[in-house]
Amino acid sequence: MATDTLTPALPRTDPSASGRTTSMRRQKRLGATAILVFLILSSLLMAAPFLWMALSSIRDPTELAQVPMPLIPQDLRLENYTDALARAPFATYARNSLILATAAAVLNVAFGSACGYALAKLRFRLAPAVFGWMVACIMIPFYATVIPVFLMVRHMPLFGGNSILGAGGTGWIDTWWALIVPGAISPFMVFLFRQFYVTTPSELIEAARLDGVSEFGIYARIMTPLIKPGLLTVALLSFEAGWNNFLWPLLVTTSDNLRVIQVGIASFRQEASTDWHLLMAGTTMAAVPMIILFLVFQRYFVDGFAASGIK
Amino acid sequence: MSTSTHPTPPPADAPAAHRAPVPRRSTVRAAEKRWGLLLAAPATLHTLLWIGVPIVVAIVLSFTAYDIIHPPEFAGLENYATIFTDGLFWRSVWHNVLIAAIGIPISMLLALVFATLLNRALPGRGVFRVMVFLPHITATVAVAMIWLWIYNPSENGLMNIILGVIGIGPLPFLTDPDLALGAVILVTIWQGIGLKMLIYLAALQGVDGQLYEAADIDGANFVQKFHRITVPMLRPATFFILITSLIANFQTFDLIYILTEGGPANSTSVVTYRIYQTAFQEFRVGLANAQSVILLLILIVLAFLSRRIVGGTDGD
Amino acid sequence: MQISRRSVLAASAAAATGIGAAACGAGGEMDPEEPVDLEADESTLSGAISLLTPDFVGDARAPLDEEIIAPFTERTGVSVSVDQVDWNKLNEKISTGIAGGIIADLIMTGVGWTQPFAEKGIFAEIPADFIESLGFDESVLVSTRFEGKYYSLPQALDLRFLGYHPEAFAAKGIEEPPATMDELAEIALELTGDGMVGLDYLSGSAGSARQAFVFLLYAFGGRMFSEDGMTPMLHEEPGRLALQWMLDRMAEGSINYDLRAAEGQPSPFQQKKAAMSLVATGNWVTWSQMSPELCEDGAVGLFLMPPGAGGDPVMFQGGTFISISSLSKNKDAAGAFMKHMLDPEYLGIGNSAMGKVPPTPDIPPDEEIESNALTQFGLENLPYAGATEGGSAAYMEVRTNLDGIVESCLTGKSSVPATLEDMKALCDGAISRI
Repeated sequence: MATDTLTPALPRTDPSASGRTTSMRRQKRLGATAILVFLILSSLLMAAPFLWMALSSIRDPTELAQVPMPLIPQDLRLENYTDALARAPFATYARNSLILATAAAVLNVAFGSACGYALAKLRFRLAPAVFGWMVACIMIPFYATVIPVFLMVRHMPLFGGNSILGAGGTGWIDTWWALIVPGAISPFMVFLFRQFYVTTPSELIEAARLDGVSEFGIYARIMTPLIKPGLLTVALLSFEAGWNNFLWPLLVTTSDNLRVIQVGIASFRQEASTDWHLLMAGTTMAAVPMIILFLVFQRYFVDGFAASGIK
Repeated sequence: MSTSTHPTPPPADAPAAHRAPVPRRSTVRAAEKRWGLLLAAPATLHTLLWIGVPIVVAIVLSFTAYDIIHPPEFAGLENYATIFTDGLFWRSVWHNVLIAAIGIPISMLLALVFATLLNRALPGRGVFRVMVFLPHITATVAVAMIWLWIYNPSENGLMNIILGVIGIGPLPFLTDPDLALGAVILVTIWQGIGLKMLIYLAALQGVDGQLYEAADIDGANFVQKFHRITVPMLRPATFFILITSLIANFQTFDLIYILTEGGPANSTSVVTYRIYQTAFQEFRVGLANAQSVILLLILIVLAFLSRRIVGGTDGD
Repeated sequence: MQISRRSVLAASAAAATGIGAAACGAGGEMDPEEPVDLEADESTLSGAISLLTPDFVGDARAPLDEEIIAPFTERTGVSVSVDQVDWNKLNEKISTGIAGGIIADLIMTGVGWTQPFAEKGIFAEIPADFIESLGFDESVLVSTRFEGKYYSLPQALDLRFLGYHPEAFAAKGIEEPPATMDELAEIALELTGDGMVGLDYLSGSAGSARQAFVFLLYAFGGRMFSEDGMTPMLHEEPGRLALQWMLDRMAEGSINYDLRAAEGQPSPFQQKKAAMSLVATGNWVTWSQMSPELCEDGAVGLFLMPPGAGGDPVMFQGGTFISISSLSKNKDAAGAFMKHMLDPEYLGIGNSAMGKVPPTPDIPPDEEIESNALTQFGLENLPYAGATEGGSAAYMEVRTNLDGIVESCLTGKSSVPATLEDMKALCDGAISRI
């Protein structure tokens, strides 16, 4: 996966430096080993709950009640997965979540980067106010605005049988509009984009202006390619937020064919009983697309030094 | 260690002072202004409509008694007066402050360590990255449920199994009011590292490799390079992470809802949980909105403070 | 710029007022006072209705669609759309729906919700003569009334009582379940020891601290509120006895609050680390998956909570109750569907699929229900299901705050008198806002 490895350098035969380089090399190798050991231990610690979840997802529920519980599942129980899938229309849910997540990623990358760039690099009078506004927007708890937002969605004029005044029908309730539009652009992502653009060199902009590149061209073709890791980060985070979204989709939809994957997962937790093994299987499945996406995206995060080391 | 050379500090900031005189400067400035507005407009208008309008409504409602069913009735400052005498609300604020003050520095530091280590060429780097990021990907329901199991009081809980090996416990993590908040903080640290690492990792990609090369030529060691190059270059990311973590911290909800429901004895109640309870369990929407306004004010103050701490939004 | 900023503000303020107005006017389109006509001829019904339910999750959903709704639609031509919402998110769903004036025609909620929603005018009154014709036990109707009128009906019950491991009783030579709270305390202490706790009462596998308190409150002959729901009574002597009883058991070690098992994990009782336990009928599903040996004939003994102050033993009653929305535009069809769901045949199908207890034993024979020992025990003892939460229009506000107050007492953060005082203050405050 990584572009380069830790293969020790070939032994060199320069006698004058050999003594010192070997000791340095040994030290370096020791250091690298120590780092590797630290990473293995700490990342296992980080991933332990997830690994436990994956283990639980193939566990027979009777094992949980055994004293002491066997740490490694005694037999592979894949029925947990088929049972979980049979409990709810997961194909529909997954499709809906995929659409939501993709829309979130695309919209945030497009509009968030434009706004973030303007706030970071273009001097216009409202810039500080807009920036402050974006940060303030993140501070508002969802539960404070959910009722007004719901009312706006429900009274959306001329939709869902509503009159021009927004009365009479159901507006955007139970439509894709309600799922996608209100949360389409996240101020969090605008803020994040701004911080990425801030680190890019302004001289490039000045130079491009001298070359007669249009302002939009500078944004789209010169500056944005510089923050490719930022674009990927925002895309990944927006996708993930869309994929794991739960409460809002639940509130604004009423029919099963617009519900999302987290609704399916929540159904394993019921009032009186929790289907632990199915919940674990469902969550593991729901995490897989995110893991794949992350694995693909992180490949583009290569050490700036390693990438440019040859120049 | 092996060398005693004192390196000259590498340039910490990208040179920004020089600006060539631009022909037709005024037209360029006009275009910049125009495009600034144009590019910022979609996101700004969208948030003004979908967040701004609801905020205005929420603020207006914070001066009313509104139970969702009956029309809001003007109540003046009554809701705010109620909050000031509501001990549980301020206790919840205090819990948030504790979670933030302990959890955020630790998780930021760990995230930075992971990001710098995982930015280097390493065998299996991708797998390490995924493992650190996993807590962030996993749905909070499952995360909370697994931690419930980890904290399970009897020898069925992982934490008590581990503590048992070193002769401690078993401890009732989530049923002892003196332990529960600590247990919650540990989960927030663990859950928060992945996102912070990702942002740091992305920000590190923007650090010019040539700076390190220059430092290498000057014989700087890892710590010096980290201190002189990495830290300044990461300042915008650090500012972002600090502010958003603070905010996210004060909005922690799902995790607490499943882990402890604010208990035992309200020892893990947090602000958003109070707001949720007030609005959706007690149906006192006006009061809940006043609580949100107070939360907003607290966060604005904290945002200004953290701007002071990190030293500007831009790293300059 | 200045002007545009101001105009943006002005515009948003205008929009805000608009939303406020819309919020106020939302209910105006329908007539909440319009009564439900349960005598309406089914052939005159038409249109579509919606059902908001936190139940019928997972495997139970298909039976709802195919065996309960389908026959109704076929018979009446009324289509029923189901909006299924997690119990945890039901509050948000109902709140936003009500605020937006588009709440479902039929709403399912829990015990303790009826009076607050009836008081707020969200639930429509259900004609008493229909309810009396159902022949349900009085105990399951208590929590459906507000100011003497009916606003909901039990659809599925979740009952709680006590269970024990017969072999643990036998080992100590205990022959009969306890008949009084004192006896229960004695037995619990006797059974404690050797890694076994006598009574697992607070493990959370059968409800919250609040519900544990309420159950004992009724066992000691108390009640939460006065008949009209306007005066709290939970802080009176029975309340004190209930709290003290739990504290005494914890001091003796026969109840261990710290044993509270994590959600989804086996309870101490399932692991035989507790000799007796609070048991909910809903536990059956968990047992049959995790500890099937407990579901075998005679594997678990059951008894009602013994009386603490003379009188009858008690059973705790929770459940799902169905109500008709007062905002419904098709109340007659909604009423007809409610009637349909309460038909013994469909009660049987629904409860059998969900593993819950039908509100009446008079249902057609059903294998699932008959093989469920917990449900059977609950059905046999329905008249004792008198321990219910709520009973006041202010209860929504009391409900979750009560948990913290009871927990403060159980964890030693608050004394019994202070706890009772807090309870009273909480209830008085909430009632004063009605």
